[in-house]
Amino acid sequence: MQKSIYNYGSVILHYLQKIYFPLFFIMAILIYMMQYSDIPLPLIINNHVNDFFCIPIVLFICQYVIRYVKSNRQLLMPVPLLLVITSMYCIYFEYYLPKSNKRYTADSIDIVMYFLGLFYFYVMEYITIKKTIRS
Amino acid sequence: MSDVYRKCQNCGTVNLNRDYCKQCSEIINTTLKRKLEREKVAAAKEKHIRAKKPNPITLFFQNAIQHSNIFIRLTAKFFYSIWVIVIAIGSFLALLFGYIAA
Repeated sequence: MQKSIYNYGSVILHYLQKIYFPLFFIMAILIYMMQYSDIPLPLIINNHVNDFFCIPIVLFICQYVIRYVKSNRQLLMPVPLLLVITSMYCIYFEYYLPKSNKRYTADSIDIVMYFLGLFYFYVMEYITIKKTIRS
Repeated sequence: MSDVYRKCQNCGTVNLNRDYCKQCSEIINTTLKRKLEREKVAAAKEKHIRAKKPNPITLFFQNAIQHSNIFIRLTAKFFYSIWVIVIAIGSFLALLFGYIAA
């Protein structure tokens, strides 16, 4: 029984890994277009969801390019590099830009969303690949 | 552990607690058969990936890294490092997102 639950979990994780980038990308563009067209959105979607999507999208693009450049389809970026990129985004969007541009506002929840995005990317890419290699 | 009887699909012999038929050596354990098939497919896939030639960008950098001139060698090593490429792309995307959102 436990084995079948584990298998279903692996299958779901496998499909999530395949679709999360296009899904996040399309949803982020949709949210941006709705904000641009002044269509009212729930506060949490309007303020924080795109911050959650940002890091997985950026890291996925970086990973795709690095795999192409190195001709290695299973290459994974080092975890400290993921942390550096996420911290860089936090500093740029939540500290530097709000100081230099009135359009931006600093928000501590956004920092949490960036790191949640990083955690999501880590689970999708690192844990799924490790499971595939093990099996 | 309880006894497992398996009938061979090839010769019809009934086998007790065996993965392979005692008569014709055909595999009779379905779970093992599937596992072996999965391993075979995975091995073939990995062999196919390894047999693939690296793209021109990889070849260019691999040659540049082994260049006799130390300046070219170090420059190639710098630009071929994962950290430099990822930080460059990440910075570019941050600027792009910042520009679009403003």
